[in-house]
Amino acid sequence: MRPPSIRYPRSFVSALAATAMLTALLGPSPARASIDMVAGARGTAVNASNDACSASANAALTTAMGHPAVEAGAGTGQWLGFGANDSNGNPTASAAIHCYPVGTGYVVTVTCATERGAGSETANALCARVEKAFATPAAGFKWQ
Amino acid sequence: MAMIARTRLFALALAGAMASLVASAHGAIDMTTGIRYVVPSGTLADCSAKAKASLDAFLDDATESTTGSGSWTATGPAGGGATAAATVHCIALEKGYVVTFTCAAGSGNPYGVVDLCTDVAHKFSGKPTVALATPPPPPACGSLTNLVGKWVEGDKTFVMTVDYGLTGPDGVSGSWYLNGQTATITYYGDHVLTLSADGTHLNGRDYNLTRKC
Repeated sequence: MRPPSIRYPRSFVSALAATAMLTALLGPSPARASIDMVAGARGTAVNASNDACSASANAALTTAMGHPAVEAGAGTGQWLGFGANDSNGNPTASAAIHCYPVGTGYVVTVTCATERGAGSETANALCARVEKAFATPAAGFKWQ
Repeated sequence: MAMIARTRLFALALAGAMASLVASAHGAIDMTTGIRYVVPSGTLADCSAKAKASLDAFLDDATESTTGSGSWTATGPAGGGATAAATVHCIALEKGYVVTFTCAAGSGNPYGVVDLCTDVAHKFSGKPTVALATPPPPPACGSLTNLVGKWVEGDKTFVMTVDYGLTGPDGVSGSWYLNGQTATITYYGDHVLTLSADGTHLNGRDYNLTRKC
């Protein structure tokens, strides 16, 4: 009598055939990416330049997102980062840091968005990582 | 025993196949930073009021991250779905305030992030806005192409949304998928149902739902 274990691969073949059939029948699923977006923390530095904020923003986004950050227009102090690419190479998370000079220091805001269901990270969790990675905050810097 | 093992294995692989199909439904996320305004007069409260109004003009239910923070976020498109979102940060200055705009959208959203951010910013500043592409209207009752709408079975109501989401009678979220007349409802497990020829009933082993018109 043939041992049952020998038959298991057949069920695998059946399952694979079913998978292929389902994929062929259903085709690519409709991509409706649901967004989770949050306004993260706001930081203030009482005595630091906006350039210092930009440098920290660049470093934080590059570290947290795993890809080089980009400034939305040179010198604007508005930085964008994209990361956590899916299997197709498309980003499923993004974050923005805005730097703005105030008095002798600056104000920095963090905003994050993730695609619901694409991974385990929420926009809140992403923002927490970005804020943590905000490099070498200036003296007197604090998150609010 | 062998038959049971095969059945379990087949079911496991089939579940994997379904999961892979669901996973492939995800798409790209796009984000942009919009116009930044520096307003020489006005308070943070003024900015917040305008931020909320400008977000609500294009998205749903703008909320402040914490009361008095001046950071507002809304999701949309207006009227349903969650494929686009925008955040407005109001920052008080010694005189006046600065306001920034950040917008994000996922694939399947009817309009782009730049258009959304431009409109929100222009609404804030009182400039003319451009009509954004509207999402497909909710289908008429009896649609054969999707399950969007309310479905009832006895005193239980299921709400299915355009972004393939589902909310059950106990408030728990799930999802739906329709291929031809075969629907897969993911709600405490997967349930395969058949959509009736007129699109008004979903029948299966676990549920027999009627579309509420």
